[in-house]
Amino acid sequence: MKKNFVKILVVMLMLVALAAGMVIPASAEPPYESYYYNVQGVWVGSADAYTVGELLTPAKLGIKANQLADMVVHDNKIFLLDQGNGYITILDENYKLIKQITSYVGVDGQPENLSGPQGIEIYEYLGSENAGRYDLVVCDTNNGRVIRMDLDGNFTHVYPKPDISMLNLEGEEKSYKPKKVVFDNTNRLYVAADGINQGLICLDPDGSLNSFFGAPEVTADPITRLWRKFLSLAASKTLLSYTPTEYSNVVADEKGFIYGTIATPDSESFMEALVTLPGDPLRSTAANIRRLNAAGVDILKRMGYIPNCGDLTASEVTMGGTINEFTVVETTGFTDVALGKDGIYSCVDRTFGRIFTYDEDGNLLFIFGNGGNNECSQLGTVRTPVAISYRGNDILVVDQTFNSVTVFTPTEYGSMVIEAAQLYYAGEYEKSEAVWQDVLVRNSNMFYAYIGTGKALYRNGEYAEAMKCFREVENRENYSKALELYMKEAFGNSFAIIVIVILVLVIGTKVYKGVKKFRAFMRDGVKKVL
Amino acid sequence: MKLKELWKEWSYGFYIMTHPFDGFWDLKHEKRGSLRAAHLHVILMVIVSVCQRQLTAFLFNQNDLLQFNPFAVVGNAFLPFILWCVSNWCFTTLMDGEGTFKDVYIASAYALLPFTIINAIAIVVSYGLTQETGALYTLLQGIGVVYLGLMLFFGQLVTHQYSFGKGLITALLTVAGIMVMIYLGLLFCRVITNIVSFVSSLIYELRIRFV
Repeated sequence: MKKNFVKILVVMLMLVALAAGMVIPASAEPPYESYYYNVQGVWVGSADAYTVGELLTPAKLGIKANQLADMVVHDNKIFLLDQGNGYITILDENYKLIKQITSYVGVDGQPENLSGPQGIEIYEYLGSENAGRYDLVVCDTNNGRVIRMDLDGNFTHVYPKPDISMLNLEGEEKSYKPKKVVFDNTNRLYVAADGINQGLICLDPDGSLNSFFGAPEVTADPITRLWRKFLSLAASKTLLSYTPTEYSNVVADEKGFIYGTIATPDSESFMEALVTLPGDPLRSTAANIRRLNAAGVDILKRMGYIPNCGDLTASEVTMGGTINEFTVVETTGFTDVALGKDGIYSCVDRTFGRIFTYDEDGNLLFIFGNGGNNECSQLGTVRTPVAISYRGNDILVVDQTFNSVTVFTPTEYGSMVIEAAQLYYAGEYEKSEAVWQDVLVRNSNMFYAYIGTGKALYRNGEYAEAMKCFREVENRENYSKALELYMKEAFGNSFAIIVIVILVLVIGTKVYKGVKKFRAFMRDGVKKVL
Repeated sequence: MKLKELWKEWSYGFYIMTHPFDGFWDLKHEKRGSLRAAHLHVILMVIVSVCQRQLTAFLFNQNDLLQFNPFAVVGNAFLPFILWCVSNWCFTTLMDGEGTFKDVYIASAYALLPFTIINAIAIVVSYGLTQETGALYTLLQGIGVVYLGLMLFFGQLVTHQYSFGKGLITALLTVAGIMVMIYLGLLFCRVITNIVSFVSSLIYELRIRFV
């Protein structure tokens, strides 16, 4: 009896010790699970590339904010646009408030306010006499114009509503609501306006209409079109509408190309694009991010094994009431893109608050972030991401619901991936290989690191090692290239000739025998068989 | 002694390879081959098929090597062959063919030899080819299939003593027969699954209601 008691006591003590051990001191683990996709496109876990650095709330900054809509980072200053109040908030590099622009003195000398502005961008003056001079450009959405002011908020120029006859539908004047604006390096103005789905409105530097630009293509299969002919108007409205989608945001890179994001891509063609291989034209027709050249043609590279369009899975969302319940396929839709150094860019997903980062060729580098949900939001979740920007390697995301800005800072792993991609971009293959191998130590699921290592080894002439890397991730194209050079090295140029000679011999004897067979058939086969 | 006999019977396939008409004729009438050697030919073909799936060089091998279902792989090679034999026998008995099922089986088994050899060569060759020269691999495989088709055709021509035209018609009918058999097989499986699921759900419902 007593012995039993001692036993129970010991067990209980051990349990207490175990429970005590389980209370881990609070750590700064981000509230999301980072992940990656393997070669088969299956979800695999990943090390966190970014962690939560700071959360900037209106209370912390000491400002009033109502629906933050856009952000632009320039010269380490952060400009936040407040849609509800029409304010522009300027923060310094330590995220301290410099100034809040609440109104400006307009063209007729009267103080004016921005009304429901949704887009802000930086304008760079052309010409050497104005070098280093910048302006802020704001979409004064509800007033139907684009305002330019200097970085301190002094009005410099206004772009009124352009003369667009297409906007006036059947005599009735349609309102012009510029949402996002961007400049290319000839200072042409590209406006994404509400309710205009012909693409971006391209305005000349003087504000007159140039053209419509980069309309997303419409894809409707012929069967659906035929159906619509037979259905009544009401019935055809229940089918998915095939109006081309609008750009949710536009950003210009330093070469003057325009990146445009699409928040609601056509889910059907999008799903088809998810299972394509690099080089498939389907990928660009169903993309939710585009890079437009001066002619409005999409030239974004899509050479990644995983298509650079966000998540590879679509989620079914139930809509409607209990009676007319229906499901909608939700695919990744981007609300904004941030351009980093050396062709790296990050896109933010509107529904799940995930941030996808790709390199210049369109290879997936990492995914992180979480949208949280309505009941629960914590440090590091972004409920309604509307804008994303790079500041150095830090990523800033604006949350419209909570009027906050979350600063994500790269982890050791994240900065390694970025460094490796940058080194490869710069042509420093030897250095990049070493970094890729460090990446693999930290995350063996990161299959692009194998390709990166392989490519670097290949450039260095270590073909056998490169082949191993490519084989690991079933990259046949590069494997074949490495194999070719490997064989050349091992056997010299004669190898292909040897193979061909052997094959010719084999085939030759077969043909010879076949001819003999045919002769025999003609000679005595007929006699024998018939 | 027996082994030597078996070797002699089996290696007669090489003669047939180069002299199909003489070969198939003697195979049936002079008893140059045997049933056990035919089994050996079939087994060899199956083995090479399995090797082709597992050992072909990475560049030309799209299979997931870690997912190996022996029944599926063996069945994939063996089933078409046995279906050909059965279908061919069915149609030739209807069309005054002279061969028994045993004859059909032996002739078809011996006809496999060139296919087996070419596939074995293809496995080896695949290691020395890149994607650019990969057409050679495809060509080799194509030759193997065409050769197999010709051998099967000549085999049944001689075995049943058909004229060329009649043989061609029988061959086409045989292929159609294979398709019908596959269709019926799938249909049968489908129906059985439905019946099983119906009965099991019935039992499940009854158990919920009455137990």
